Amino acid sequence: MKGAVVLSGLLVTILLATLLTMAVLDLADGDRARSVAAARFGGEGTADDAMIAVVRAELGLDRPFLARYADWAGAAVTGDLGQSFVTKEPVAQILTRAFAVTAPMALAAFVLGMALAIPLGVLAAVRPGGVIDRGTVALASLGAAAPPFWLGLALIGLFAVQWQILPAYGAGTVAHLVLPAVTLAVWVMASHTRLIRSFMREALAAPHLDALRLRGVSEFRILTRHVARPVAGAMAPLLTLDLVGLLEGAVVIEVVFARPGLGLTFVEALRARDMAVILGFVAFSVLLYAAANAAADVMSRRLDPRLREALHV
Amino acid sequence: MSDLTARRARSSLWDAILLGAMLVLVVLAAVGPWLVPSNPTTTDFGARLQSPSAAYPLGTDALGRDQLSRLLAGARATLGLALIISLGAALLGLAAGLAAAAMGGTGDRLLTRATEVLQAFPELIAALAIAALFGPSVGNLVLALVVTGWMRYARLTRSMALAIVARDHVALARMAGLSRLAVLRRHVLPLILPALLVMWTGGWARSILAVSALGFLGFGIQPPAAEWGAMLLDARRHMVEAPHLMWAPGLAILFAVLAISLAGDRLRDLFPFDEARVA
Repeated sequence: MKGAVVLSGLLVTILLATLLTMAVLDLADGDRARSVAAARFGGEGTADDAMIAVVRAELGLDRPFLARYADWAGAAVTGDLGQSFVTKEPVAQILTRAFAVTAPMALAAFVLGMALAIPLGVLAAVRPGGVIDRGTVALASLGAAAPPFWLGLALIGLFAVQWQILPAYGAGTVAHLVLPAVTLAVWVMASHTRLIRSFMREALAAPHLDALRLRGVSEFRILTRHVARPVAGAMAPLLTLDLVGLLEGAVVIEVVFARPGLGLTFVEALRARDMAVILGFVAFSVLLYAAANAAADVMSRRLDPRLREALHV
Repeated sequence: MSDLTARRARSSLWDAILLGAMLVLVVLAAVGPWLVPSNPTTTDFGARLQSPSAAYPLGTDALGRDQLSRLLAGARATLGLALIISLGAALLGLAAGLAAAAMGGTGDRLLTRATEVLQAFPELIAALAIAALFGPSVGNLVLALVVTGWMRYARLTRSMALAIVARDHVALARMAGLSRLAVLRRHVLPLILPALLVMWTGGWARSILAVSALGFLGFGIQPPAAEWGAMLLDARRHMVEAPHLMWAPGLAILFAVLAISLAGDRLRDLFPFDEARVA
């Protein structure tokens, strides 16, 4: 029952968000047929009225807004996001190809960032106010303040220009993955270390841990069962922000490293005003966000039984 | 006892440093363009891509423009616009949150639903689309980042206001004959402001990163005007010939964001509230 409520709320949000996106894109786009015709036939002012009329009919722009939205949404449900206005390639195909470039980078960055954040956050929490604690907080603050596009440039300057040991631009090999993944991993590390630290502190201060110690439960078992579990429960909802943060980070970082992933595809579509690709990408990111939100909700309920009682719609 | 005194002295020194850093940033944001040693848009093709020297302390860019002057002039764009954007978003969110809490019923549900729909968009992606598609200009940049950034303040304000309205002192004020508006202004708003202030410092820092990211992607402040992110875009084009160009703007953003975030941390210590659980 409650699952159905959550799911329908999710669908309404996605529906309204995509409707809004299409409305804003229409508003931003004075005369789309004219710009598409110009893009396709080269240069402003080269397309005559007949060409523009052909393009307008082809794109269905002579039809009312809601009818066009219904068409788009109906096709989108079946996985058809229309065609790029510039290259005529199916948008779903463009996004799938770009996703295959972004996903390994995001995954590598997430794994690397968490591999740093978890030990740092745990060590910092063990002795609050100690040298490790303060050093960790300083490192995390510095990492969060460094603009990722500048960090990427600095890494290119050192590793690709100065020492010439790693490629600066492009994608395809593992070597191409290193610099962008490291840049994005700094964001992952910075945004998680302090959270893990504060969740750990809270979990370590729980009074029932002393009761467990009195009963003779081993320190290892306390850490793995009674501290790790609430920390994991507190972290789970943040995974949604991670997915979106990784996607947002990819936008900037892929431009820096010229990696043809989702982010670079989006920025290039914005430059070319390729509304079909823009709409497809925004719809994809809204769907990703909404689905991850719902998944995180379920996960935190499983990990923290206290939340199962609380109504959270 | 002496340990406590030492800690107090240390934290008041730290407060003074943070306050000083914030002052410097606000002054730069306000009058940066008037502090320049030379015109930040004057080109000198005889002095392209020069390394730092006595005449040009931070070197020159590809058009022979003085980097120090561009850095100072760019402070107003990056820091100042981010300040305006974060204040705009905070005020809009405060107004929307208070309105939702005061109206209750259908009005509240509609406003809450609207913030939910807007929050379904990743902030940077939505801002990028708006700024790029409506044409790069200062007005559209501010609009894009305010429209995508006010919801967190609205949610915080609404949930805090609803909790405060349920308290006894609000009921007493109503019984004493104060109007709804007066109660909101005098008995609800003052209790929300500290939390909003803490959230706003984070917002200013985020806006600096957003303004410079948009500038770097070419959708923000346009040349010849100087902006730190746009300066990094220039630096990227000349990575090989003039790698020194990327250091000053990048470090400027880093230090500004770091100082504001640390000041925000300190404010959070002074006015503790649990952002994750309230908003």
